[in-house]
Amino acid sequence: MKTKAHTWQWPTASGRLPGKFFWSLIGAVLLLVISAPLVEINLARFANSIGPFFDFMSHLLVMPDWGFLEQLFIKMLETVEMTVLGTTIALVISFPMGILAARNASPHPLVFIFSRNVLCMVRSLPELVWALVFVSAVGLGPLPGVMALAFVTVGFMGKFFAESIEVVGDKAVEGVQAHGGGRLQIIWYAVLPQAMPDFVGTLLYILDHNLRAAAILGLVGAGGIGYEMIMSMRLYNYNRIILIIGAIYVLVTLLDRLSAHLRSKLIHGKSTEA
Amino acid sequence: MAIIELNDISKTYPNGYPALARATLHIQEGQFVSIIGPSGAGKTTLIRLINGLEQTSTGCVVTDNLKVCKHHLKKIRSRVGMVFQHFNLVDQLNVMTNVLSGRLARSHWLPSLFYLFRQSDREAAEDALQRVELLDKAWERADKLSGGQQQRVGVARALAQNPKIILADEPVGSLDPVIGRGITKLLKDISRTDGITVVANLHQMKMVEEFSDRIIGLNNGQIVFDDTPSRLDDESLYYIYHGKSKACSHEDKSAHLAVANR
Repeated sequence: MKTKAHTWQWPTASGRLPGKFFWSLIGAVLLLVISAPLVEINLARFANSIGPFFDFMSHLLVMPDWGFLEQLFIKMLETVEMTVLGTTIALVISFPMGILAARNASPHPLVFIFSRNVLCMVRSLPELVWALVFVSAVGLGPLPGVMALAFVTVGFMGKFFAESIEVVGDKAVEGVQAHGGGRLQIIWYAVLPQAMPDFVGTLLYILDHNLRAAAILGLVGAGGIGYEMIMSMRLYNYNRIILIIGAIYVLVTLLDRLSAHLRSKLIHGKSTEA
Repeated sequence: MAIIELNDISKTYPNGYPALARATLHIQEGQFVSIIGPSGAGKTTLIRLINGLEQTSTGCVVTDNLKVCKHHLKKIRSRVGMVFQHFNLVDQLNVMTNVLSGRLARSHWLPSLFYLFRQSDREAAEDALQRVELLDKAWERADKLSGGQQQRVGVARALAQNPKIILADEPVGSLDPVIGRGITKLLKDISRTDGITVVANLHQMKMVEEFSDRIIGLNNGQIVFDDTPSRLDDESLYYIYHGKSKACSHEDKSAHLAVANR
C-alpha cells in the first residue's frame, strides 16, 4: 500500500501520531493551562520575583560566622545520626514488609493486601507531620525526628522493595525450584539475590532523601540542624545561613560519592568506580 | 524396572493449548533418552511433567516410584536434577552458592536462610565442580562466566544433589556447536559412569544419534517414534518433523534434508 510520500513519518500504520497519544498531549497541556491560575501561577509574578530572589542571594555573600562552626558541627552530626538511625530502623522493618507486600513472595493474598495498605498508610503523611505528632507524644529532641523518619521510610522503602521483588525474573527461580528448594529457600536463594542490586539502589537514594528530610525536621523541634536554620532565617542571620547551606551541600555531595562507589561495587560486582 | 513412568497422560494448558495427548512412556534406569520433534510438539512439557514443574491434565506420572503430586514434589525434586536452555543460574550469587542451591532440598530450612551448609554439602558441591572442571571458578559471580561455563555450572548444580535422574531441556540450545557437543558428551559420560538416567530435549541430529540409547519422537503432542538411534532413518525423521510420511507429501525434498542435517 502506497501512501502519499511524506518525508517524515511516525512508525505507525498511518505514519501519523497515534490518536491516543495526540489527545493525551492536548489534555496535559489543557490541564496545565487550567490549573496554573488556581495556584496563582502567572508569568508576571514570576518575572517580578527575580529581583527579590537575587536580593536574598546577595545577602549570602557575607563573611561566615566562624564562631558558629562548633555548634554547627554538633547539630550536623545530630542530623547525620538521625538520618542513619532512622534509615537503619526502617531498613530492618521494611525488609520483611517488602517481602510480605510483594505479590510473588507474599505467603497469602490477604497478607499482601494488608501489608500494602499498611505501607500506604504510613507514607500518607510527610515526615514533618509525623514529627509533629511524635513531638507532642514524646517531647522535643532528635527522638521524635528519628521516629518520624523511620515511619515514612518504612512506607517508601517497603513499597520499593516489594516492587523490586515483583519484577525478578523467573528463570533463576525455576532453577532453584526444580532442585527441591522450599518456598522460603526459593525467596532467599533466587528472588532476593536478584532484587538486591535494586535494594541497594533504593537504600542509597533514601539515605540521600532522608538526610535532606532530617535537615528540616528541626523546624518542628524534632532535632537536627533545622532549628538553627529556621531561626537564622527569621533573624536574617545570613552569616550562619551560608554556613548551614554549605554544610548540607558538603554532606549531600559526600553521600553522593559514597553511594556511587557502593553502587558500582555491590551492583556490578566491580571494585572500582566507572 | 522403569524409573520414569508416564501413564496415558494428557496436558492441556489453561489457554486451551493441547501440549500432550494420551502419551504413555516408560524410561529405564541409567539410559540416555533423547526427545526430538518440531517446536511446539510438547517436548518441554513432557520433561517438565517428570519433576512436577507442570501438572498433567489427565493420567499420572510416576518418577522414581513416587507419584508426581504436590505431596511428593520436594522428595522427587531432591533426586531429579535439571539443566535448562538458559542455564537458570542466579547471576548475582557466586558459582559455589549456585551449586550448593542444588542441595537445598536436603538442608534444614533454618540454617539455609543464613546461607549455612554442612561440610558434606560443601564436599558434594566441590566434587560436582571438579567433575565439570570449574572448581577454579568457584568464587566468581555466575554472570561473569561464559555461556558454556554457566551451563557446566548448571550441570554441577544438578550433580551436587546426587540425582538419580537429570532432565535437560534443550541444554545446548543457546551454545555454539562445539561447546554444545561438550555439554552433551558430559551428560552422556555422567549417565554412563554414574548410572544416572538422562532425559534430554535435543535438536542436533548428529548428537542425538551419537549419544542416545533411545530416541523419542514427538509430533503435535503424540509420541510418533520410540526406538534406538540405529532405527532412526530418513523416513521416520520426516514423519517426526512433518507429522506425515514422505510418500504422501509433495514437499520439496530439500526441506526434509534441511531438517535431517540440523
